[in-house]
Amino acid sequence: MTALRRGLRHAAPLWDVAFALAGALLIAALVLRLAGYPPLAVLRGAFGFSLFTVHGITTTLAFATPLIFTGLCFLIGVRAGIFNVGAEGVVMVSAGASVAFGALLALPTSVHLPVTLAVAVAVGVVWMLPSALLKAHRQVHEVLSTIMLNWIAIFLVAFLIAYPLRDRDFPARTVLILPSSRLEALLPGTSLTAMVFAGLLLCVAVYVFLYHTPTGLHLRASGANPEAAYAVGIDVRRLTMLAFLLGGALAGVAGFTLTAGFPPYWNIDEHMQSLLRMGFLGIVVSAMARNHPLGCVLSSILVAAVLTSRSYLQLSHGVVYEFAELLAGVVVILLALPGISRDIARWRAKQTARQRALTPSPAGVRGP
Amino acid sequence: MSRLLAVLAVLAAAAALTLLRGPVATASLALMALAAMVPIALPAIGEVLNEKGGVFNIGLEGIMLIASAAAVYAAELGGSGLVGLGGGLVAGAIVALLFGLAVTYGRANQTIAGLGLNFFGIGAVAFLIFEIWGAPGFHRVPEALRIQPLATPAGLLRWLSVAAVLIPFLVVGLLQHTRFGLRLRAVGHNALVSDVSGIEVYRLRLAACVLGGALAGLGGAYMSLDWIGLASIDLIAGRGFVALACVVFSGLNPWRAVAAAFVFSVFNALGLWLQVEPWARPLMARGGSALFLMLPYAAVLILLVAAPAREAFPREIGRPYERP
Repeated sequence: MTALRRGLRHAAPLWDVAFALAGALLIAALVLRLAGYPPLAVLRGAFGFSLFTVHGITTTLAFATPLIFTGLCFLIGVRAGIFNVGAEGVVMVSAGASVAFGALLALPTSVHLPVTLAVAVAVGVVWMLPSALLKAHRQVHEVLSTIMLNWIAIFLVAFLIAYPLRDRDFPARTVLILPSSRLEALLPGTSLTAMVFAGLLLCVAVYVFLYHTPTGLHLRASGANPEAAYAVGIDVRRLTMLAFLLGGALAGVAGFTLTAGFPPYWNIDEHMQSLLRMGFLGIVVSAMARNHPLGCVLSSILVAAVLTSRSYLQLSHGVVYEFAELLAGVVVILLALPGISRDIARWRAKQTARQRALTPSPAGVRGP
Repeated sequence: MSRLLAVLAVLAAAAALTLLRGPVATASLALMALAAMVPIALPAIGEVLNEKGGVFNIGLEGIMLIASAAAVYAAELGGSGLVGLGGGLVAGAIVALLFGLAVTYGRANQTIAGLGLNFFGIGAVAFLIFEIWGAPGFHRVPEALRIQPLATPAGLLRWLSVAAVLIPFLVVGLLQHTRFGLRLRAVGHNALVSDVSGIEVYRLRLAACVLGGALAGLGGAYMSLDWIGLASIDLIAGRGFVALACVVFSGLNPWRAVAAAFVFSVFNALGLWLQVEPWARPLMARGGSALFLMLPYAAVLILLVAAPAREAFPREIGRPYERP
C-alpha cells in the first residue's frame, strides 16, 4: 500500500502532462472546429495514422530519435540551471558537417561512419562553445547568445546547400551521403535505423549520469541552487560549461541522425524542411518529460507522432503543415503553468493537516 | 565600454563611407538602417516596460509574428493600411494579455511560456495564412494597402522610423513622472514589499505586458504592411530576439534600446548593401547572400560580450510573484 502510494507520488508530475495534453487537444479541436474542419475525425485520424499503422509508427520512431537527442540537450541544460535553446543551430551545422564529410570524403566502410559521427559531435560541441564561454565568464543570457548562433547556423547551412554541397543534377537538395557512411533502414522501405537504440541508450546514460554519479549530483545542485552549490565548494562555472558542451554533443548526434541516419534521403533539402525546428521541439520533449531523462522516451514519441501526422493531415484533410507547431506551442505554454499536481498536493496537505488537528497526537509527539 | 565601441564603429563606418562614396550614399545607408530599426526598436521599448515591472517576455517574436499577419487581415477588412497598423497593435496587445495572465495570475515560468508562445505563433500564423488566403506559407499585401513612405533624395523615409525615435519620450515620461511608472518600477524591484504597501502586483505587470505587446504588435504590423509588404511565417526572422538583446544592452533605458536597435540595423543595412557591391558579385553567384544576412546576428553576438552587468536590471526579473 505504501509502495503504491509512493509510486503515485512519483507519478504526480504526470498529471500536469496529462492536463497539458488534454488542454492542448481541446484547444486544437476548437481551432479546427472554428476553421470548419471535423475536429474528432481529424485528430483521431492523425494519431491513428502516426501510432497505429506500420508506416506511421516507424516514421514516428524515426522522428522520435533525433528529438530524444535535442530533448536531452535542453534537459541537461535545465538541470544545470540554463535555458540552452541552441540545439536548433547545432542540428543545422552538424547536419551540414555530416553531409560534407559523409558525401565528399572517400573512406573504407568500417571507418567512414564513425568518422562522420565524430565530426558531427565535434562540430556540435564547438558550436556550443561561444554560448558556454559567454554564460560562464560574462553572464550573457544564454537564450540570446544561442538564438543568435542559431540564425548564424541557418544562414551558414543555407550557403552550404546553395553552393558547396549542392547536387548539380538535383538542385533541390544536397549531394547524397555515400553508402559507406549511411545507416540503412531496419525495415526496408522505412526511415527507422539503429539510431533509435542509441536514443534509448543515451536516455539511460543521461539518467545514470545525472542521478548516480557525483558530477551529475553537482550539476543538478548548481542548477537547483547555484549559491548553495558554490558555498559547498562546487565549481558552478565548470558545470555550466559542461552542461552546454554535453548538450552540444547530444544535438550533434541529432544532426547526424537527421542526415546519415535518415533513409531514404541521406541529404538536406534546399529549404531545410527536415531540420527546421527539430532543435526547438527538444524543448517540448524535455518539458513534457518534466525534465527527467527517462521520460524523454515517451514524450519524444508523442511529439514525433504530431510531426508524423503533419503529412497525413495535409493530404487527407487539407490542414496546413505547421498545425503541429500550434499544438506543440499550446502544450508548452500549459506545461509552464505550475499546474494542478501542485494544487492537488497543497489541497492534500491541507486535508492531512486538518485530520492531524482532529486526532490527538499520542504523548505530545508532533508529526513532521 | 560596449556603447563606446558601438558608437565608434558606426561613426567610423559612416566616415569611411562618406569618403569613399560621398554623402548621398551615407544618407541612403542611414535611411535603410532607420527602416530596419523600427521592428527592433518598438518591441525593445515595449520590453523595457515589461522588464521594469519584472516580466521577461521571451515570446516577443511570436507576438510580432501573430500581429504581422493579423495586421494584414485587418487592413484588408478595413480597406486601409492605417486600420491594419491599429489591428496589429491590438492583436499584439491581446496576445500579450494572454501571456501576461499566464505569467502573473497563472504564475507560469516566464521563459518556458515565452518559448511556447513563439512556437504557437509559427503554427497559428501558418494556419491563419492558409485559412484566410488559401496560400501555404506567405501572402503578398496589396500595394494599395501599404503605408506610403516619404520620398527623399537619398531614399525612402518611413513614418514609423520617426515614431520609434519619439516614443522613448513617452515611455520615459510614463516611467519617471507618473504614479503608474513609479509603482511599476517598485513592483519590478521588490514585488513583496509593493504588495504589502497595497500595490496590485499582478494588475501592474499585466498592464506593462499589454503596453509592451502593443508596441511589439506595431513593430510586427510595420514589417508586414509598411516595410516588407508580406505576411509570412518567416517574416520576423529573429527580430524579437534581437530586440531582447537590445534591451540587455540598454540597461533598461528606452533611449539606449533605440540606439542599440539602430546599431544592429546599420549592420543589417550594410549586409544588404554589400551584396550589390561589384567585388561581391562572384560570391553572390555562388549563393553568398546567406553569408551577408549573417552579419547583424554575428554583430549582436560580438557586442553581447561587452554587455553591461546584471546589476542594471530589476531584482525580480523573470520571477513569478506569489504571496507567501
